[in-house]
Amino acid sequence: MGSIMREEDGLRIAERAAYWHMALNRGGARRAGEVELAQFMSWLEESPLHVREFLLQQAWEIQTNGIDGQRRIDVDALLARGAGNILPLPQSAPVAGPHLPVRDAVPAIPGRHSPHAHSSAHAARRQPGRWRWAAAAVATIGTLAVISWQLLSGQTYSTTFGELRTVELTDGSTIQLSTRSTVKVAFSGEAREISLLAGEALFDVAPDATRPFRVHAGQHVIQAVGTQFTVNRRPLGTVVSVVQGAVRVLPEASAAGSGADTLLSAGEEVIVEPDGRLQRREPVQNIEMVAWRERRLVFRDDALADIAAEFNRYNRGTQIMVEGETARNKRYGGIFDADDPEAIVRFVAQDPALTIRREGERIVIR
Amino acid sequence: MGEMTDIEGNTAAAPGALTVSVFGRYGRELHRYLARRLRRPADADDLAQEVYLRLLRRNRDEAVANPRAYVYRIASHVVSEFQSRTAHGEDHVTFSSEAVEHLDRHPPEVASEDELAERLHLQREIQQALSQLPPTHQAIFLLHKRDGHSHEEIARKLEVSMHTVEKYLVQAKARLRAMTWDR
Repeated sequence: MGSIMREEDGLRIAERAAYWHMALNRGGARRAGEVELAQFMSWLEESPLHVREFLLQQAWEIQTNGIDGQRRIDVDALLARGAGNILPLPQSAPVAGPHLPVRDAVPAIPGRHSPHAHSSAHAARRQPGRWRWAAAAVATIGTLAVISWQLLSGQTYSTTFGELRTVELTDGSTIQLSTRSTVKVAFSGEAREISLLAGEALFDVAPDATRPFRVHAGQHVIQAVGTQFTVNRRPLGTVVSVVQGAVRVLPEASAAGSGADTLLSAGEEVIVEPDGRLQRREPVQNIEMVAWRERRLVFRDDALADIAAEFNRYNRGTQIMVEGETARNKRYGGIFDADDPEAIVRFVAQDPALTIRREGERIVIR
Repeated sequence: MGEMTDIEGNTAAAPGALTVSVFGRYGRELHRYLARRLRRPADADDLAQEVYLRLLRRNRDEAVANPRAYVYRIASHVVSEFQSRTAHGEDHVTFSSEAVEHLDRHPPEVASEDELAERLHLQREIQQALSQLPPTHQAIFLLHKRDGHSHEEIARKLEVSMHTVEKYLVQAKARLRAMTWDR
């Protein structure tokens, strides 16, 4: 558990633990109500790491009672030094609702161990991100409502803008989550069910003949046959790429072997279109399928709408909108630095059929 | 201030008060167990995993009126089970949920020398880490944790909202914890 956890995740969980510690201690009118208590339980049930941090936070609070007992540190001097640096945050923003990690709404702290220094600087430069975050949270909730069975059980793992994360599962399989992606894991004695609710992930499946490993993505299921593969839910279709071994792709409602399934082997890639049709793509180099792990985006004859969505997953600030069916379906290829959305804009600008308009941090292509 | 603090020290903690009252009188072993693992959180994985599984096994309809006490109770049980499995198992401990409910009334407990040394060591490290936070974070943390001011009092003093104070506190605490993790 947690051996591959990044420092960044650790800090975020520590913030949530400190937040819950505080929220559960509020008294009087601000005492935690039923809803908050239920949210707290749900948070604990998300991960053993949350349980661990909550317990440790409690012990830490006690161990730090009596800190600076001789009062050597001059608080007034500190306040004078920090004067003008307090950022009063809008009252309407919740302190840290379950979907708004604390770090998104507070000024960044530079520190010795400051894994955020870079990304926070980004965030600070591109301030309006906060509201987009809220919108993204709402959008995620919408997705969740549609796929209701997935809410019944399981554990959710998510990444935010620019974040990559590896999740180790109890059966020895791993999931590498791309940026702004969410999976839900529900293992039982009979099956290993994963739902890719948003974004993209690489699945490295540990063999277990008794429990099939299935990834649900919208209307289709991808069943592993001992393997490594990626699934990417794009606006114009879900892309399934097989790095090693083989997978079966089949509609949600049908059973494997019913004739409705398509077998894909290493190097093969299909797009499951919104209407359910499967479209095979040219064989690919494995390295291209997982280039996102190095924060490179590889496109081969991909629709501009999908390309823009991909960049938007990596970049909280600059968001690229593609308007009009013609523009959305324009196809391009190339290898890009995921952190440089301007590169794709420059690239597309060479196409005389398209116009580019800037609205603050939004870039509208049509 | 004569009374004990609430869990977080929202009322003033007597400086240096060595209390584990929050876990309840019988949660002392839990606190010891956790305190020894503060600098290496991964060492608490076994406990967390077991507590987590027991939380999940809970009947989903079972209402939990006091989730915090519930979690501590499970954790205390697990720690006592761990200890009874080891050769040097200490006395069994049971958890009293009543102790959590009435935690302000529990007298401070005297810690052993080891515990005291552990605590002082951690506090020295935290003070070091503290100096690396921005001044406002330091000040708010000290006003609350050392001087025992409530969030409300700090908000008034600094002329900011209570939300702001809480955000600073949460951030300061998480940073301080992360900065004292061994790696």
